[in-house]
Amino acid sequence: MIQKKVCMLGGFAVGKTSLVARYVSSIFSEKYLSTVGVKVDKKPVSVDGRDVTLMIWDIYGQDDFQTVQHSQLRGMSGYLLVIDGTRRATLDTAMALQTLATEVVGDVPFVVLLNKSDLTSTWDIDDAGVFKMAERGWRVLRSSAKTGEGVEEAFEVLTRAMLVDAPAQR
Amino acid sequence: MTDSLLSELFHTLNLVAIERQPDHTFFLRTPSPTWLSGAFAAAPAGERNTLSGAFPFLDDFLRQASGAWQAGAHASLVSGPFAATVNEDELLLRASALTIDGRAILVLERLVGAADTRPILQKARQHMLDLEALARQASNANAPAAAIASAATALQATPLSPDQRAIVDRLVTEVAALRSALDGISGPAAAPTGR
Repeated sequence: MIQKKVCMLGGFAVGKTSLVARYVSSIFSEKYLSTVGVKVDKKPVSVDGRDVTLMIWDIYGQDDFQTVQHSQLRGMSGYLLVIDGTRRATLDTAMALQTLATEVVGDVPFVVLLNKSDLTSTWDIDDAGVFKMAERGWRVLRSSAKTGEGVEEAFEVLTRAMLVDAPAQR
Repeated sequence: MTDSLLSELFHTLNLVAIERQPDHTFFLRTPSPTWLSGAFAAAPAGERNTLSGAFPFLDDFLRQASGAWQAGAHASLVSGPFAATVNEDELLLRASALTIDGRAILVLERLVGAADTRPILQKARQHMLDLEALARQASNANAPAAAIASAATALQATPLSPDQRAIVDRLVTEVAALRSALDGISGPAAAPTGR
């Protein structure tokens, strides 16, 4: 069985834990519970006829209180870079984390998730922000842990990219 | 470690010491606390003494710890906090890999009480979210305030009676104060956090 380490990266309260809970356990809670440290969940999946166990590392949100450690990123095969679509500042944090991830593990596949797509009335990321990411060749998807939109797709796209040893994204 | 006082101490401090044997299996050197027993009960049968599968995070940590143990006496490795679900309870743990008298020791610590920083962090982050929301509201109020300031300034340039001018002058002053206050709220809070 192939095993792949996948990290959830992003600022605090962007919805990383909720995305994992939606994907692994099909549950969602409105209550925000801050993550301390790391939590690892296993999810067996089958993509293009290949069985893979995803070791999903839900890493605490990056902020002034907690900084993502290199040791937590080592060995990862890919990652989901999560941005809260209702908070523009989380885009800058994601950009910084992408740079850090590249420094630590090199160019591995990743997918950017513009999360909380169910809250479009309070959307704070404009087209220029999305363009900035697309310009770098980043794969950007919209997601909502609440409705489930884009969640399965994101993990599937990432798993497929990890399996084919995808050419590096910048 | 077999001393009963030390055993009691480890139990009270929510610590457990495990020695890695030369064949890379693990042997408990302190009494097994309830929370650890639960975790091992959930591990795949036949793998208990390898620690494999007890906590997925620990599997990864042990790979790194092997390097520290091979390096010898002066090397030690401490994991950050990690969460593990045992019997439906989410525990916060920390692992340390130490070399004592040439023996490879793994210490697991359950973080409880003051060592469990989750409630403090939760509160701090909730305050930051509230501050961010306030900053967004202030930022949204800035555009209409700027429009009022612009209109009031335009009005100042028109012929006005002394009473009307006094009102408009006051309006210009008050709106400037309002905009300054809004900038004070939205400025620092809107700055991105983290690196």
